Amino acid sequence: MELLKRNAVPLLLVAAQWPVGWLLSQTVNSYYLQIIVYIGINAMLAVSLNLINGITGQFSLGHAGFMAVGAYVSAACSLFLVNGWPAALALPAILLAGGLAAALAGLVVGLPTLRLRGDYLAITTLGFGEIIRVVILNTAAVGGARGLGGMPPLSDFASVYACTIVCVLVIWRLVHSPLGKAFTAVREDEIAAAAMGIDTTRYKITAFVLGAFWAGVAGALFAHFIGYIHTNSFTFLKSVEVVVMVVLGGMGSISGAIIAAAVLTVLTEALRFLADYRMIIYSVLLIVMMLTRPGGLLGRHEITQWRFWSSRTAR
Amino acid sequence: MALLELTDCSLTFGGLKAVSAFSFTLDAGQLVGLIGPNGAGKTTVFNLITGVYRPDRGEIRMQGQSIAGLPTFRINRSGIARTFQGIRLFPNMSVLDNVVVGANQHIARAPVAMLFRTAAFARHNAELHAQCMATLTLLGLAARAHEAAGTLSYGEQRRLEIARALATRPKLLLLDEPAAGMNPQEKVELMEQIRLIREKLQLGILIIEHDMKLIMKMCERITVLDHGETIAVGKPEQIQIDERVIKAYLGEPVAHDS
Repeated sequence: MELLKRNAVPLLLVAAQWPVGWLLSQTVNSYYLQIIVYIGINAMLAVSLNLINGITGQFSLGHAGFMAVGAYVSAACSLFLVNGWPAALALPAILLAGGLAAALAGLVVGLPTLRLRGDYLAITTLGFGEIIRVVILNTAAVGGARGLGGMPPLSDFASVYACTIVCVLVIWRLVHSPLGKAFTAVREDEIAAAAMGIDTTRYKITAFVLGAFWAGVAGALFAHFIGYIHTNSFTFLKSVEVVVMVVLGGMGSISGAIIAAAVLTVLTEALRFLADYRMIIYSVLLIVMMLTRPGGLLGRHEITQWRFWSSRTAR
Repeated sequence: MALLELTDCSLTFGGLKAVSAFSFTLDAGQLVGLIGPNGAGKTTVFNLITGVYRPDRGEIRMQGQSIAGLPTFRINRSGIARTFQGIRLFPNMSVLDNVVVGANQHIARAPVAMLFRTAAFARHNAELHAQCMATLTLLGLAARAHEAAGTLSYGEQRRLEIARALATRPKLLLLDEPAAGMNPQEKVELMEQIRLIREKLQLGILIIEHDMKLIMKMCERITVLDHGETIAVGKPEQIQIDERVIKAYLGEPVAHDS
């Protein structure tokens, strides 16, 4: 009973998918619904990257690479492996396949590179993201330059919504648990953290693998929402977009990352009528933002910490 | 058996002998001072013990177990905690969270309980919270538990470093200039707190400090380093009149020829 009470908020949030989903299906057209789904996918990407970049303080620029691994592995899985399974079984199977494959990629990349710091780590992860993309582009079995299509539309608003909630919940509860405070300690001062008995490498790899896992799940949802994927969706620019969400929301703020993901996703669509000029507005917005609130929208704070509203010095 | 034992440890940086043939023992519950002029190699000795550097030669044993060359976090888990000369707190985390991070290795690893916030998880959290607050109380920081560590005064930050180190539950505490930057009043309080900690937790303490009054008053035994070499070992009153120590601190007497 008590357990139920302690988990009431996430349970209610997950349960809200039915009324919200019904309401949306009655009120908005499929274009707006698509934007809402993209917000969910981007929120998962931003929150999972925030665990690596914002909370643990490692600068990764390869999140699109992990997303690509998740998208392609799950797509291959649904096309060749679980083809014909009922959706209720196939969906968890492909999400898990995409997530685990990306997590494995995260481990393979993380083990050798996490001894690097700052710029060096950023460059290696950037390189990794490009390698993944080029390898996929040259693999005929997954469509190569033609892209990969024909996946069943397994993911919809409800599944994206539920996955986003679970992703945020897992990362939130991890970093706000006594053990998880070590992630932030690694960011704050790695030498001091090690001197306090914290296996810093292990924490960095955990952050990397968990972040990659959720990027993979986001990729799997993306692939099975639009039904066709191409490596052009997972370029370096996509990685940068997710980094911008994290920076804009405030490095280390989970709620900030979600808000920034929503704002940027909507903004990209809202400015579509300006064609290529929208990139100018996009950049101006970022510059203004960095000048007026260099710590990001919420700084290091969460929206649940009300003092953010009263103090302007939230950094 | 000695708690900490260094035998014949040497470390060179290029051509510079930072520490040469350093031998040292510290028994459980002892409070020993390590002094010497600037650049004598005191902090280097701390860095050797805590695994920041690996000795070129020599052996370091903690309770009989060799620890030379182990990674820093393993050495801490063997029971050695330290503070830093240049403060290294987690400045954006709360005072309490700094101590919680110190207790990391004693927190049960239970991912499922953590994820679902079970009753057992809540109970462990409450226990941990109480323990960490008790440690903060010991150093007079309980009232500031929820402030960001970076906002504390210099003296308070030094005390928080000690609290964080104690949270790892060490058998040996290494204090690197704990009184640096403190005013006389704070120094008196610090001495009292260190005495209390030692009495209560039965710790061995090795302390580097430039405040001679504090060192002479507190330590049972003092080791003096100069240019990486041990120039004197003994009780405070012996050290005070040791010629080599005086020479190292004040220089050679000037010869008046004319």
